[in-house]
Amino acid sequence: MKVKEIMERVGMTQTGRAIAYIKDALDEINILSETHITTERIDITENQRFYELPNDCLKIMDIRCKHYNNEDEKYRSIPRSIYEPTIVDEDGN
Amino acid sequence: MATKRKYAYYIKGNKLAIIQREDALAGSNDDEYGMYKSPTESITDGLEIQYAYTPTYRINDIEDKSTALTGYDESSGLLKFTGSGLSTDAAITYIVIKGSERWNGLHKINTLNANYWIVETKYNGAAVTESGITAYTDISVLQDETFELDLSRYQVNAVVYYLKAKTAEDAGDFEKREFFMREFKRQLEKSTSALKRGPYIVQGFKEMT
Repeated sequence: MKVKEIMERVGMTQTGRAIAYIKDALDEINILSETHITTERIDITENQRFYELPNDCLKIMDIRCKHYNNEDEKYRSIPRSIYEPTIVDEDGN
Repeated sequence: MATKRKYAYYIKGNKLAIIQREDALAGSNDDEYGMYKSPTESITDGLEIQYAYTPTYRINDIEDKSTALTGYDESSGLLKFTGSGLSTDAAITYIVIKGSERWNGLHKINTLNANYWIVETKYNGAAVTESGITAYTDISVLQDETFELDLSRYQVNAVVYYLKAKTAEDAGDFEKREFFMREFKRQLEKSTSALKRGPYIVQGFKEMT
């Protein structure tokens, strides 16, 4: 359905306002129902603990690591640590 | 043969922290054995993140793409994708990046050059070399009334309720706002639950061990 049809249904005439609210709605929909999902792979670097999240990441669905609990180079979900480890990162971040 | 590894993650600010359990006794400090610390070795494509994103664009033709991007840099506070033999077609106004460790998603073009593309995205950091970046160039963006949302008709009805709720909120009618927000969530739940059928099975999460 086009933006114009949505505006007609709602009775809105201001395009900019409608588009801003539609973007909010799309955010909300993906937070609640995850209709659009993608996967990204990042290199793990020795002694680097912190990694940037992808630019368009709205909600994390799963985090997997290669070799996690297997010797076959398979990606498996890794658990979330409740506490930060006592051994701090060497670069101090 | 590759060895098993133990990882975990946590979120700090807007960054993802990856930690690995120290499993080696030889060559390491015995005090750290069994403890989590920063990754002990580099692994190409070692981390996989699955995430939800906001569909404010549509790729019209997946064949219209460039794989000649080799990294990114900063240019007067803006993000500059570097490469060679890049298109300078003025019809390219937006690009969608995939395969980047950091810059996936929609970017508005500022300058097109055969050796770089500067986009409107803010960036102030060092030059980074990165392989595997794909830039899709035939894009429709949610910026006017002709854009067609990448949602099912049923989900679009939820968007209509959301807009009605926001309109009521602007008018100060909070009772109506609550009603339409409830309808928005109900519509979404119905569209999600309509895809579920049959009995459920529960399995343990063995990775927790």
